[in-house]
Amino acid sequence: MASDLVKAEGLSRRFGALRALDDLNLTIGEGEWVAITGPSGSGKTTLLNILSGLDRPSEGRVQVGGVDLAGLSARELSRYRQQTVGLVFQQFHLIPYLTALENVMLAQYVHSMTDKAEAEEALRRVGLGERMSHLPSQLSGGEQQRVCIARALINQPPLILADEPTGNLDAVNEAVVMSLLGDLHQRGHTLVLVTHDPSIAARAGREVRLEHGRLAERLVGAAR
Amino acid sequence: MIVRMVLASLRRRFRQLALILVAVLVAAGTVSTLAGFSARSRDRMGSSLAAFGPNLTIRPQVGGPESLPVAALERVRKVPGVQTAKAASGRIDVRVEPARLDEVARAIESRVEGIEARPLLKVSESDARVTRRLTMVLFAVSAVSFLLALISVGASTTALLGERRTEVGLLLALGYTGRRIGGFLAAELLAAAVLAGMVGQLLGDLAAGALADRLLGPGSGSFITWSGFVASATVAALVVGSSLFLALRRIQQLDAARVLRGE
Repeated sequence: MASDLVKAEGLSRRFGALRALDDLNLTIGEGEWVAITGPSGSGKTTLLNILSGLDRPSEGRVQVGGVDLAGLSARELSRYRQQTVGLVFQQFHLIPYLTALENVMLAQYVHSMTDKAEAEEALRRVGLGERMSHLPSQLSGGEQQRVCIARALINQPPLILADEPTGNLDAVNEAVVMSLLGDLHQRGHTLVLVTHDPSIAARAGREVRLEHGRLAERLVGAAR
Repeated sequence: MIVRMVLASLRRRFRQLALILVAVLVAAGTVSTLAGFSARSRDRMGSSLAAFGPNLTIRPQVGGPESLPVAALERVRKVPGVQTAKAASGRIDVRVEPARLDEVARAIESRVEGIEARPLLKVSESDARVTRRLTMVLFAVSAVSFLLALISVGASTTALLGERRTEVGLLLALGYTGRRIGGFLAAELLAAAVLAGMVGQLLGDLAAGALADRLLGPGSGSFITWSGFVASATVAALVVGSSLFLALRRIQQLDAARVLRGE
């Protein structure tokens, strides 16, 4: 059995009187593909934000790779995001005035130095070898999401967090993106994917269902 | 990478940056005019008429005898600090050590009765009054334009940052620190400030030269003054620096998670 990459204990996140996460306990093994599902407002995105170091828990603790995120300073959290996490967004969030290649190199630049050949290879891997010099406005939604995936994997992060990665895509592009995410999982990346779509969740090794910020876990496919 | 980002962003946001350019240009231009004009007027008003010629003239006192006393020339020559003294029609032209001009003029007046000793300057007293007033007006205009530049550049930077919230949120999510993102913004603002400051200084020195020529008469000296350069560079740095300080605080307060959710 693989060791745990993510370990959350008694995790709570309050926004005023609202409890977005409520005493959540969760472990995710290295190389695992977990789908986080649940109705709107159940705390899926809040959990993802805490795992990505963009938000901090109000109570409890979360360890990623043995590092307690609650104890990190803002600068250390920045370094954690650079080195440990790759983010895939529903809205893609590409810089509109940079080309596809430059958007990927932007993630390299924060991590270390830019390596154009490596960025080109990442884009080729997601099937955008011919679209490297295009601006986001010249790419379809599916292509933009593929750039976003190339950007997320360019620094080889152990943990990839995807928030509704197919939420804005048609069926054809959805299949392409899911195939790419499956490929990443095959290569050993740990994948945590937030989705509303049961068919997308079914592709994961495990589905974690949240309700009112609490866990309602059920197993799908290869259970741990 | 950073150069590419800055250039691409400058091209895309040229209209928004135009306001920053104009504000810094006007402020740098007016301050440079003030500094350039002050330097030129100091140069021309403070120096004696000629480097080696007479710089003091002695005439009969107003309301006193019509001609100079007979022994006046000899007595003037004996006053310490007087280098040469020569009689001309109805007056004595004197050359004294330039640094002791006023002191020697007073000494001559106290030793020779019935005369007035006046230093010769390039400009008349009325010209000096006009120059002083103009300098004050320029100072007031410079202060106002500096304040307006501070306000408008601050507002433009805030608006620019508001438009780029998602971009800043993304950079934070990718692991960039607030300080590093501030560096991108600083590079963009500095590029605009350097351009505007240089053009402002050129225009300011041009205006200062034209004003000085018109009021004080044509003079020599370089087209660009050092004080004009220092003044415009200081104004551009202060305006951009204060805007950047505000921008950095806003970046550090930004909640990337909320921004990326579109809130």
